[in-house]
Amino acid sequence: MGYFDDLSLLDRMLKQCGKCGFCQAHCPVYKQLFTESVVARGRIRMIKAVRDGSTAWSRQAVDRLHTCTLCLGCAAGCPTGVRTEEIFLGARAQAVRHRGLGGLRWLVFRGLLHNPSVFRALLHAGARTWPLLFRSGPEAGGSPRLPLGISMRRVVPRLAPTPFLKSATVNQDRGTRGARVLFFTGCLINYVYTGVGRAVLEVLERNGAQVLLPREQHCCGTPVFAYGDVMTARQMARHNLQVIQKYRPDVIVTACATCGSALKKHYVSLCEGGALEDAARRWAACTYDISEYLMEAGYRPPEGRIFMSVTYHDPCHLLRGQGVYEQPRRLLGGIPGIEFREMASADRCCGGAGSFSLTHYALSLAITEEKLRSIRKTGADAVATGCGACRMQIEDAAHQAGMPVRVMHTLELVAMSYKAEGKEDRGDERGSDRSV
Amino acid sequence: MLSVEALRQLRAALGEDKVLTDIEDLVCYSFDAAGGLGEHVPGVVVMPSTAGEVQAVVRIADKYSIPVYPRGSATNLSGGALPERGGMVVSLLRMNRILEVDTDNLTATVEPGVIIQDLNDACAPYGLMYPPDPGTVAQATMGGSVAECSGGLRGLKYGVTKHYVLGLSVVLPNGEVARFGGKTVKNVSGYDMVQLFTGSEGTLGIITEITVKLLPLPEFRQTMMAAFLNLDSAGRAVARIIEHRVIPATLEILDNTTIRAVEEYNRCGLPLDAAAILLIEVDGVKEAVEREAPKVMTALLDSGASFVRLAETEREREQLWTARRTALPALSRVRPNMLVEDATVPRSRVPEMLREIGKIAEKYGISIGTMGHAGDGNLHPTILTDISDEQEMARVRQAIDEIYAAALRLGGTLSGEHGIGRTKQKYMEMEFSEAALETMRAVKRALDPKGLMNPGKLVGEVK
Repeated sequence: MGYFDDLSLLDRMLKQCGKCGFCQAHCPVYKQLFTESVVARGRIRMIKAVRDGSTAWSRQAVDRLHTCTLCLGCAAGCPTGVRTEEIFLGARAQAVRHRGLGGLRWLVFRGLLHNPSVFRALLHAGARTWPLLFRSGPEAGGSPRLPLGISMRRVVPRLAPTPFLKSATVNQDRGTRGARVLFFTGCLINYVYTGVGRAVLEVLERNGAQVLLPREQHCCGTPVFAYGDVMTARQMARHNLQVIQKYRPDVIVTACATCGSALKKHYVSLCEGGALEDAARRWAACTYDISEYLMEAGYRPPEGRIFMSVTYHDPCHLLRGQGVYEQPRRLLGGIPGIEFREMASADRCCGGAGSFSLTHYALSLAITEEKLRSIRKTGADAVATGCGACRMQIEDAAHQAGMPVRVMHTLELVAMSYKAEGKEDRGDERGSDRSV
Repeated sequence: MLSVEALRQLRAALGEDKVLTDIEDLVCYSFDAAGGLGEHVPGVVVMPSTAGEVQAVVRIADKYSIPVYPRGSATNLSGGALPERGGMVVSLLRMNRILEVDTDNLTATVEPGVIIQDLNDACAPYGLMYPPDPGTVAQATMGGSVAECSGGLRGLKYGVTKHYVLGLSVVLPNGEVARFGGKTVKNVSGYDMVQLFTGSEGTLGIITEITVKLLPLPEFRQTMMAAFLNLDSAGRAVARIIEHRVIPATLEILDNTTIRAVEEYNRCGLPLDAAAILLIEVDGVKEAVEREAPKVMTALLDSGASFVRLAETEREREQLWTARRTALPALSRVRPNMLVEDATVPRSRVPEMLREIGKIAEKYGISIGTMGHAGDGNLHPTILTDISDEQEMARVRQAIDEIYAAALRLGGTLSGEHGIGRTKQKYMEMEFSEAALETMRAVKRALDPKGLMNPGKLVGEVK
């Protein structure tokens, strides 16, 4: 039993909020709406009101609870150390227990995500029907042809014709001496940004790792517990932990900020007091973001030159969620030819936040505007980041703003540099195959 | 309760989305950053985005006799934003445009919802700054800090908010707009209404436009820290610095309780046996700073500092500042709640005041960490407590009474920068004569005859 099951465990934490209002300076949503109910100190007060019975989990209360990107800015800026993420996740779970999930979410969470094979089958079908549903737009994706419940101007990246895990093959000769590294891909890398998957594989193998790629791995469950469906999320965590147990890796790496946070932190909270608690703790301690892993385990810096100016966007769940700040910057700084340009407020949330960008599209884009301003000021050719959801959001907004900037995963640039080794005379790499 | 008709008119004047009536929203406006005053849920929150909309809501309030509570970021520590009689909270956060940075006249004109830091960010490219820097500089609004007359860490050299406000537009309690002052440094036309409204805590009207004076950003600075084994030598150091005719931008003091809390919180190598630490920063033209810094170092050593340090690099400067910056977070972790007071005494009485506070803490068996602006005598005795413990709170309240009595006895004042609001109202008679208080009430009655503008604050309920 943790905060996911019992919000009263956080009563002391609720009391710890001194209402100083420092969270206001760190809240991207508050900076758009200016209402106290969306900033941490106000939302905490509202949760207290539900706990003391002055209001219930009403439609409005649930709305205020979800008008939040879970960027953890408030927690990072809190002078008294209130762990807002736990409070908000715990409250969302309680709200679901009181109100249920609602039709569409029930269908997606309990019908689809609950069962890995159904989920896989549907996404495979989705990849085939994608051209029917979306006009092809910019290189990365397209906008809906039909009203699909998302904004018609939104640019959605293409579902890969073949998922990464289905097409990728581990090179048996390359890495037989090194650590057994299980690559937990997550949905976005498996189904959308398959190039990132290939880049991670390339880099790990070039550094001698024995890569394990379990095809039976499932969505990490973040969209599910972030909405408050603890039951389904726990089922998903159990599935993934069992898959990991079976492979017994030395380390687990992720290249998705959100999956990393889930494996490192949330699985432990979800499994607290259950049969898998020890396993969750054990594997959490072995989980690394790929940039973190390379820096800690050591890697051979790539030597191929890439003539690009690059800036970096800190995904919330990588910086505040996992404390990863230096590592991706050092990776980028170690690539010959790359001119690194730090942007202002690199740590500020991009507004994407998974399904938040579906339910609050206009608000999320308004937040992304600020991010685009920072990016534009650097004049960089590309933005590197470590999160598929951030990438999707920035790509969409940049396309709508007519900005030519490319959004890439840090590891794609590292892999690109390895591949350019010994091809110095080719010069400018900018025009090379973007899928790396 | 607000009448249905009043609400209908508010919605008609502003539009649905600027009028909040859901209980889920209203509870979030039942407090400000001051602790221990209970919670008060307003009847409605309105979010006007123009001065015209402010006028409209004030007129409706006047017509239906609804109490009006102007609100910025509500980070004040005196209960100034509490809607104690329900009524209408007027949130000014959507009036957040910087209207002008005038680099010829060195002024900026802003709407009340502009965050202080945002104004500074807008001025920095021109080599200019707006000096008042309360601890909440990244959250507090210009409107709120003018209404509360905020101070900050640079008060000794740069003064406080009132020294920078040149002009104001105000929506009066009857809904009329009045403009006072302007862009000129010199302006003696009429009563100085700008100064009257600055620090009026929202009791006389709602500020809708502010013109402030800007200063050039200092080009150079040097930062020093010194520790003292007893309070008197720290006090002597402050006096000696001034005797050398150096006016530091920052001259901060931390007492032993605070030093221990900071060291516990982030191990930055502070001496645990020190009775006090001073943090000093001198800024200005490079040549001047380079002459002033050694004078400060001499003053510190001559006064018996047990150690002194001068930051050679920006990194070292950050390290020295860490102790001061983390003082509040560090103190806040000692107990569940923290009450920050702001008793203020003449500079020369700071050591005496610190001793008094120590005695009071001992007498009532409570924990008080004191830090503050030694240079301007503005101290922050910070009481570490648990507001749900009624027994302890009774002792805390007595201790606070004695702290303010001590400050007045030493020739000081009730509030250096947090304002009277609700928290310090009961002490007003200790500082002011009946004639003085009646003068303030007369002003309030003249401008707000119905007593609807932030009622109950500063001068209390006025009949």
